[in-house]
Amino acid sequence: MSDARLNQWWGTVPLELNQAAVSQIAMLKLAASRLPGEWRLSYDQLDLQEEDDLPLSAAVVETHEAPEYPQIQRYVYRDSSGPLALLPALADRPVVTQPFQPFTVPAGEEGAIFVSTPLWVHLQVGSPAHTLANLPIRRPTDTWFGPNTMEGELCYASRTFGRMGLSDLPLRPHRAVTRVIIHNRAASPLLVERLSLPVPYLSLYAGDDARLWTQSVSMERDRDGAHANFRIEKNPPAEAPGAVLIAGPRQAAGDALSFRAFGALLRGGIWS
Amino acid sequence: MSDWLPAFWDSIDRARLMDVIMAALLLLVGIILARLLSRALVRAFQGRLDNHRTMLLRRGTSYLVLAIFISSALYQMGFNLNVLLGTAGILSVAVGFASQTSMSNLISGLFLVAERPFMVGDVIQLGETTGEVLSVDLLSVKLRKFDNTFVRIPNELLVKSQVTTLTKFPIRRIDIKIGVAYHSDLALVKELLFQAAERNPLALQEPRPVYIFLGFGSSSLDIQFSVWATRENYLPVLTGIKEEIKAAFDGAGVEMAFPHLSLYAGTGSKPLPVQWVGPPPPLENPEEQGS
Repeated sequence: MSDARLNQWWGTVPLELNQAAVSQIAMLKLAASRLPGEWRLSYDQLDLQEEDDLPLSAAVVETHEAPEYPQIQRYVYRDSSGPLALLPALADRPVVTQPFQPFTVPAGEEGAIFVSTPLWVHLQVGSPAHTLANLPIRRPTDTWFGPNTMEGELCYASRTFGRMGLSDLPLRPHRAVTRVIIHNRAASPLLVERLSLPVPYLSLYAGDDARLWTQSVSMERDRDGAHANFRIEKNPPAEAPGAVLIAGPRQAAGDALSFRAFGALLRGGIWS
Repeated sequence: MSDWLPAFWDSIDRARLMDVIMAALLLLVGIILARLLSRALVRAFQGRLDNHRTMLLRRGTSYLVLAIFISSALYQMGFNLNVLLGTAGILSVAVGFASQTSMSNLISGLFLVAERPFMVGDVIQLGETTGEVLSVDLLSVKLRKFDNTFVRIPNELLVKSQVTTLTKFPIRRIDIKIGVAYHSDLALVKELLFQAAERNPLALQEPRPVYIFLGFGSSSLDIQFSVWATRENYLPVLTGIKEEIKAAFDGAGVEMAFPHLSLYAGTGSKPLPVQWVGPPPPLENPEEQGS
């Protein structure tokens, strides 16, 4: 991949009255206007199929001539004082990722892949800052993750696939990267067709190159082969030089979480 | 006037009066105790029981306590309870015959409460009636149909027949029957269907949509395409996905079939008679008449 940097699309913008902040983050076009007694948000999501051709985002621009996009949300305040802050936020549900080609981790081995998950734009106004809105940059598809159609949980499906090498990872401003290390402690090989990443427990970091990261996650398939344990690393990943914490986890968790991380693999295909 | 009162007072049997007063006291104590006891029990089980069971507990307790104190009061008054019990026995048989249906509904109601095939708020379907459960009462279940009409279904009917609870599980499958023209490219149709499902964010990626080629229909190739959605998003996906399929088919030129019949006169039969309704159109080349 090139040495290109991403433009940092997040930050705090002081706005005067009747001024707007306009931004484009990948396929989301956003305009936030500060009006007397009101904050007005308008946005549009481009329906792009080819994610790799997206323009890298532009930094926020302040203007008096705000474009009016199709989706509008209005928030009424006694006093619409600034500043406006745009922050990236991780998904509010676990994200199910499918590698473009399933891979096998043989017995006793371990492997590492990079997966990316979709991001939201968290808009805050005022001082002290409070949340105005939470917009997905691209609304991900819903999916069900569980042993059968009667129990499980609603997750998001990630459309991008895991890559093995960091250099293979395209620079994408609207996705956060997680390094997942898979340990197979069981006596049988583990075929990884999909995995569910516990995103609400992860924190978000920004590297020097404005790429967004979460902590590394290690998933261990235990000896009996029926369960998977998670461990979320405490510190930012080594691949993100000079990482700065942007947002903490949505939900607090202990260090090792036992989840149904590997889905259908452990019980043999359930979707019919 | 003043001599009337002592004479009246002497004529009263003191023992009898005591009995009546005791009976009245017993009744009063019974009423108060019934109320207190039922309230205390309800409070003790507050969080653990739903409204229905709480009501049953409250009423059951107060009737039981009242019954005990009423029979004590009657015994105190000198009534022979055996006679009362005998009468009650005969009465209950008569009442039983008369209220067969109601008793059946009552018992069925108790079974429904114990079994819990659905709860208040679920959507159930019984025969042709589909609605949201408003309450599960002693004798019947009350539904609100989606056109906002009120339906009362006797409990006996629910226990006797097949009831479908549409909202029991968190996700539901939506089955769409599609007919495409015989000359359609099925591989293209399949691809368009899966793309439409993938583009709709509310259609679940997993469980994966199901494509079934049902068979060769009389006017069309019949296909069933099923997508999954959460029960909350059932209606938006039901409508949305069909519209998206139609748009995708129109864009790719896939013809959706409608019933039609082809008439063949056959080589051995006479030609079909045709009649011009208005004046016949002029021939393009007047020299080629009769061709």
